[in-house]
Amino acid sequence: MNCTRTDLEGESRLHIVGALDTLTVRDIRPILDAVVADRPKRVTVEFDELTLIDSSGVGAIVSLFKRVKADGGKVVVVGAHDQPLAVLKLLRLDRVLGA
Amino acid sequence: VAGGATKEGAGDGGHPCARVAFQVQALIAHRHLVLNLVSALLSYVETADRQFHDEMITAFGEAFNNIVMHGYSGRSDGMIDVVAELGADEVTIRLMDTGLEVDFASVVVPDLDSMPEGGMGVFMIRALVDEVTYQGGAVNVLSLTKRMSSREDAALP
Repeated sequence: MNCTRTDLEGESRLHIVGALDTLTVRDIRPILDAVVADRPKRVTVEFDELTLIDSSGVGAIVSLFKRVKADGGKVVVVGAHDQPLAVLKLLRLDRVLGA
Repeated sequence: VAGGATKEGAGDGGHPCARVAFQVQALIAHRHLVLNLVSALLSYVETADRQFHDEMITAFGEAFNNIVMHGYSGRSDGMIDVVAELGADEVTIRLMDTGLEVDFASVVVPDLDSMPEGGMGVFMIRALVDEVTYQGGAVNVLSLTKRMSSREDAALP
């Protein structure tokens, strides 16, 4: 898993490549914590190159969503397809996250 | 990882046409290795499509996580035996471990409206396969069966 952060005028964009799961979530947590600490108005999480997600990965994104929202910001997921999109739909997160 | 395979029948009438077994250390570090193995096995299910594959892999992955993180919590010496029975249009995968027994039946359905950050694994397993059985004991056996014939009722859109 690789996560690249790009910041632009109050928005943080996170581009995630590979699998976001129990094995890799530990690598992304410091990045998510740093994003939350900066209190962006909008966070866009790009899933177009995400190949697989599990409940731990979903938990990390939901945690990001809740913390950014608590600071008045918004988190959206874009580009989700195949297994990651299906998991978001199963957990009824696709609409909340805009996926 | 150690393992073996046998071919048992023609795959008609619901009987498995191939039975593959392997054993793996119960370590999260091996998660992708195991998922890749199971993914390769699923490619031998003649009628399986992408959705069937993704649902089974997702369910199996959650089951693997649960055994490693809860069954063998705090241990690095645990082993998981995996037996896959591959039929023409169905798959049964059994995961066997000697870790802590899980009270599978008592796991409640998470309140999805509250956007939980955890506790979704068992819900996902139950939603994604057609039949789930769990037998605890000296050896805990979790069995996941998925059939293409029930494809219309599949959970993932």
